[in-house]
Amino acid sequence: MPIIEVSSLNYRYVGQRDYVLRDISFTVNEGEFVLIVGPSGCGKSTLCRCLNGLIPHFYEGDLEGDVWVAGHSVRETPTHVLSQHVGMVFQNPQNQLFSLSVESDVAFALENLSLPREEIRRRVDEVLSLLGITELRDRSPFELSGGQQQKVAIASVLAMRPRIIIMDEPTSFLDPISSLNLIETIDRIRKSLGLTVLLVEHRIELAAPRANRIIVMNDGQIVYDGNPAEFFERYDAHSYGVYVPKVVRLAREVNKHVRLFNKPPLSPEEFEERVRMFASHRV
Amino acid sequence: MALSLFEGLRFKPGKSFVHKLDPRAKLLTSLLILITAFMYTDVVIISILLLLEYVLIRIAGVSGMWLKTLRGALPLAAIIFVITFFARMADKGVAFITFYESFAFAYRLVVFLSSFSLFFLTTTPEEIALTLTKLRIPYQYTFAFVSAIRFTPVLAEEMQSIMDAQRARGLELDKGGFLQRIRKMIPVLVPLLVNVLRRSYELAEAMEVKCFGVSKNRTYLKELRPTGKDYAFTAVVVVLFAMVVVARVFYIQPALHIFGLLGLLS
Repeated sequence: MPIIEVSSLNYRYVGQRDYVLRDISFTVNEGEFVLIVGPSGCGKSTLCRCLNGLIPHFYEGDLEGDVWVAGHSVRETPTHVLSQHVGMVFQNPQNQLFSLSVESDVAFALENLSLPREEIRRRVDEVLSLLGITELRDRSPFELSGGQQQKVAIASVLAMRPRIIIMDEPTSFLDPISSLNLIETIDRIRKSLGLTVLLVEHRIELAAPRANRIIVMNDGQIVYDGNPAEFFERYDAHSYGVYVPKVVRLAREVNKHVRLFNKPPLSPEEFEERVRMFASHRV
Repeated sequence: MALSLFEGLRFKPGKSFVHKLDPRAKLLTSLLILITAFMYTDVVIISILLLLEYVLIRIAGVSGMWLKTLRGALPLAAIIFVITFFARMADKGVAFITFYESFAFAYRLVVFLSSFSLFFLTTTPEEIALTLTKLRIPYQYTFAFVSAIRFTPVLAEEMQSIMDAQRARGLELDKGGFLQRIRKMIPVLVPLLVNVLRRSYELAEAMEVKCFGVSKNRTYLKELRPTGKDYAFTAVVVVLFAMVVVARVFYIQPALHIFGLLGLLS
């Protein structure tokens, strides 16, 4: 069942001549993990803003086409209503935490929605333990590492119990290990809560093996939408400004000598499995 | 020097009796100390006040910071002393009473400036925010206060890195006279300001997404729950203050009495 439906969406920010998004159409089914990639400035962040109502309610500009999210028309639904269906996590963890303790940051949105105190307490406990950050409860966001801050940001959004989570380059301020840890955490909670996830990410090697689907954007348009392995097999990812994972390149090199891979592996595990299978057939 | 005056307004974490008091009780105490200092210029009363304050500060274990505030207040107190002295000299001449009154005014100023240290040194910013809310101050203002505290270290860090970057390009921030140094801060402050503006936009976006200002009756996860100790403490403070008021009504000025007995006022 589609939970996001975008049809012929065009958008340009106020005062700009060119459209940032051009003729964007796609649907996302409930429970999908969609990876959105593309070079900087191709409109990924703008697309995210169109899905949770920041466009057109916070940013002015010309919006054409229809966007439906969780049964709501984004054009007619205020951001605070949409936020309870679509959670948004931004790039810079510093700028989405406002309070002096982790606990009050996670409670922030719920307090704004004037939920009863008992309910807030219950939900805060729940999301903190879900993300494994209960021990950070009384710490100040300033003292936390980037990875911890980003987990707090995710918790504060999850507390609203959205069915969809959109993340706009959540790892770009993190080191490689924290990034891996964060992507694994996202994948884990996605599975346990049955969330729909849209992840904008440059670290394709980390995200691609976990995603069901990849949407490739270039210059405000969707240039590919489908299976991640197929994209790397059939297209010259580089020419779309998309980094080709090392394991894909390695498989291509191997294929030049022995045709081992019918479709490119996206993770070292897949690579190893294929090699192992090949070796056991040979014996 | 001037900055050490504000040392007494920074929160020092602790677990003492004073730290655990309800912030409203501490706010009231600080306020009553201030009012008492307004009502009296008597050195004896002001000394008692300072002593009481010191006892509470000592219990909280933050006397170091408090003393710094007092020291920071000294230059201001000296100015008050001089001004008062010259003003009084006109009609009373250079007499013991002129010295005494000028001293009392300056002394009182020290109590003024340190009175709120008790509140600020022992109350977490979060408790201050809760207190503001309880005083029915609109949430927007409380939020502004909290985020100011939240982002101060972030901006300090940012400023440091801009300074480093500009130094690496040859800007000599530590050289030159006072005016020159101020002018050299421009290449630091402009990027800082630009960053702050950009950051504020991102913050506004995140606030929007987290439903800021949606409900008029915002709820709060944390609340202030006064205990028996808070009531007892407040009662003691109020009784002491009532005594001060009564003494004021009957015009009791211990210091002047003592001086009178010693024959210093003739």
